[in-house]
Amino acid sequence: MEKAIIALAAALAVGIPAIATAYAQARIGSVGAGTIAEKPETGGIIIILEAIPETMVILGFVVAVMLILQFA
Amino acid sequence: MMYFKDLTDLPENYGYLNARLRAHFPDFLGREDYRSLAGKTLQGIEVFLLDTRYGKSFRKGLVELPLSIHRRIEMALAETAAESLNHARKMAMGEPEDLLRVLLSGADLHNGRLLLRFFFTGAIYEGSPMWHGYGTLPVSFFRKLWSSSHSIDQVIDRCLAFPNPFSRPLGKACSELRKGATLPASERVLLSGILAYLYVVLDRHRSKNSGLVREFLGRSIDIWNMNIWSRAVSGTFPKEKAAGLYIENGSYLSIEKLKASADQDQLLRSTVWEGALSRTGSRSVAMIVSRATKLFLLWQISLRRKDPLGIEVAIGFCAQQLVEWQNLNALVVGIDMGLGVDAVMDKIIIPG
Repeated sequence: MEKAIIALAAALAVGIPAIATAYAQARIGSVGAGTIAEKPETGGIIIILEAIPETMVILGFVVAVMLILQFA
Repeated sequence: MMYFKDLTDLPENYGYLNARLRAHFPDFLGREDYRSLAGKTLQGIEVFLLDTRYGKSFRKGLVELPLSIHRRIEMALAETAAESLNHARKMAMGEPEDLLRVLLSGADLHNGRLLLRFFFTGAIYEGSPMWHGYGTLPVSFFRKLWSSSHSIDQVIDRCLAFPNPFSRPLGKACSELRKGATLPASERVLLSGILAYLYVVLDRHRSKNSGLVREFLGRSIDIWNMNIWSRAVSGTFPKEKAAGLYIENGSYLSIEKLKASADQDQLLRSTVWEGALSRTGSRSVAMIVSRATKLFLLWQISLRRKDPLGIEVAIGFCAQQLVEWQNLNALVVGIDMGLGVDAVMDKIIIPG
């Protein structure tokens, strides 16, 4: 039972940030595509902006790994 | 079913459309381009246009039609502008598609008014007028009406039989004209019919975007009402007659205010149209309509950076395309008349 709860917590730790990241990246991506189309020189900045929400899911993944290593 | 309906209203629908539209913004001409064009001859303008996105239509005109240089440029501008606006509509799906139909309905109104004016004046016109080809009604429909223009009855029949929501109001407006109505009264029938349909389209969507397009329509109605008001105040037609020509649902000028206002300050002060009041130039009431139209276009262009995932980008794009078309036409006419660079630049609308 305890293991199941830990597994669920780990899944939520990575799943919720993944959904939030997808939501943010979808919007940043479509707006970024428009910005690059309008001003091609902004390409580098847009790639960085697109990557920033990715940190959420990476941190979620780290938390999930820690949960599993600590308690499972 | 609801799921699919929700899908069509997703902001992602705006994402793709807006990215494609924003890619075209750098193609629009800027102040320096206009200034350099204003110093050229018509032949110089022709050479310039051949190297731009107008080149394709221009070459077609050169090959296919033996026209004057002025007419050739005019046709290339109209064709390219229509192509660009139709392309925008084709890229849209779901809510933006409906909203773009509303935004581009000005073409149907323009074409309908051309037809009504022709019948009203009874003028004989060689060739076909410059139809705006980005509306819901196809240009071929207006060409057919024009070719049967010797008989208003035939035009009415064709309009009523054509399966399009805008052709019926046009038929009704022609019918009013035949019964002896004035030109503004029959134009009002046309505008009211088109607006009734557009509000039905807007009612399908309850969002911030449809609210903005509703304001767009409201401001368009304000301009119509301002036009009627200015004629009533200048004595072109009696005030009682003008009262029946106003249209409801204006954004900032209520019918009560229009009826009660005796001068332009009283009407426009403390509204978004305040900028149409002249501070230094002509105090003529006739001028407020053209200044308000310019303000309206500039407002639309200013929206383009407000929300990259909303209808604002499309509103800005359509307005900028129409302004460029209008500017280039003004430029060609100015050069043809032999005006100097500064005089031509005075007629050009440059977004801030």
